[in-house]
Amino acid sequence: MSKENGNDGNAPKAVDRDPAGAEARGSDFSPRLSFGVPDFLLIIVLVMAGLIPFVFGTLRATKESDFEKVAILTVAGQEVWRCPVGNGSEPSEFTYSSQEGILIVRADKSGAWVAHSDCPDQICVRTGKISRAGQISVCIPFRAVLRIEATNPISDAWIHPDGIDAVSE
Amino acid sequence: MAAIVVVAFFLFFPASCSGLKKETDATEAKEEIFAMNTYMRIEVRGREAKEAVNAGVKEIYRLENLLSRSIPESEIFAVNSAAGEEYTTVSAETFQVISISLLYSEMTDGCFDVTVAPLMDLWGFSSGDYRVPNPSEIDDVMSSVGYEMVRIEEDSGRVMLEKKGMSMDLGAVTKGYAGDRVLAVIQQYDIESALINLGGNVTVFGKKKTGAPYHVAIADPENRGEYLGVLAAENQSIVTSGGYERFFESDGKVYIHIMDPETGRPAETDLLSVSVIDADGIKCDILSTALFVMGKDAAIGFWRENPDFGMILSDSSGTLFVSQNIKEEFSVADGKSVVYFE
Repeated sequence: MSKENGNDGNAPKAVDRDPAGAEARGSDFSPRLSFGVPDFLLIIVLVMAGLIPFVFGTLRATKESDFEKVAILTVAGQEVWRCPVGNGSEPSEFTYSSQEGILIVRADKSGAWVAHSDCPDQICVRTGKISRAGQISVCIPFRAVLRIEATNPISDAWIHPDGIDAVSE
Repeated sequence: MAAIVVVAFFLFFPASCSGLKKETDATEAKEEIFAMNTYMRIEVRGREAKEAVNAGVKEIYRLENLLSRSIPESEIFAVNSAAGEEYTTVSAETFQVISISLLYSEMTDGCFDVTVAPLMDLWGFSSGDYRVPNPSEIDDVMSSVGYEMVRIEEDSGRVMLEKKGMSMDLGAVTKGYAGDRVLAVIQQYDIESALINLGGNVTVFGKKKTGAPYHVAIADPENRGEYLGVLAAENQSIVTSGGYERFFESDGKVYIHIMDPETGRPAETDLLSVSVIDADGIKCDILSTALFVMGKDAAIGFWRENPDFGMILSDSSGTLFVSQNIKEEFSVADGKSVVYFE
């Protein structure tokens, strides 16, 4: 809108647009912005409230992205455990129990693996430690999938920075 | 007034951001299932991604019910049940899968054979009760093994196994065929790209969101934590066969699950794994098994006679043998020695 149309805050026409508000404030009929302390407090509170999702999301992302990868265990498609993998990550163990028995997965800074499974074929245990993004270790009887996912671009020169999308095996 | 504007901005800004994210997510869908005795994952990107994934999953279950050897309602179960007695009329689709299998059996001089099921049973690979049978047991069962004893009648769509005791197992075919079928089904929807991983049989369609091709790693048979290399793939299937996953040990000897139809024993070759790359998934599935049974020299000889697909061999010395036609797309892992052949 151009100034010729009276968008100047001191222009008389602007007074006519909000006579009730101006009267209520008991001021002259100017539409000047006036912030009181309560206004500032309200803004600060609401801004902080609005940022909560970002703050929590960023904190979580920062925590995982401190490491190159994350190990994720899903059972029947549902995530039941996740653990950062990489330099500085703490060793971790998780035990899943079902009618099939017990499945134990472990992770350390170098990867993750199925340490024990009550399944008959032991293919998941034989798979051993998986360490590269995109790798999986599957236990069919438990319907469990242990997966390594990248949280940062892959650093190996011969692997594309996007990482691995699947493993043919 | 200004306060209201400021407040409204901060209140609605996060909401509008999450709204955008939802819109993006709506164009990507994935589903994980356990079927055909393995783990499967379908990922699709596109406007009708969700519908496509659902249809793909449905197709997998349909094929399992059609081609499984162990499901009593399947057509293969019916053919096996009538072995040595009578013909069974099967659907055009089952007939086609059997016909293609027999074609490749001839083409590979029997290194691939869908009638090895009695051997799989004998060695305990079907049940998990592994054992080393004695030679006379193997000889007995071998009389019921041989693709030449599968009779097919194209006009009537009938199939029969000549001898009682014969049994067909399409386990080395079905996942490859399923990859082709799932791709065909999901392409009926408005999609841009897809990644279909059926127990390590990988089929990709299109490019990723970034515009890059899909990157499919080939598992290292000697160290499951590592890869042999990574293939940049687009509109291809990649299937790998090896004895490193399903095997058992007895008296210090390893027996793998891939049978040599000629000896009746688990295949003993100089190869650790074979990967086949082609647009035809069923071809990849069959050839990866057949070429593994053949061994390195015969596999390379086969490729030279039929150089229309990509091949990666890993031999027992740790060397990779890669067909020249995929040299550009295949990045070999650091430290691996590689020989390109043509």
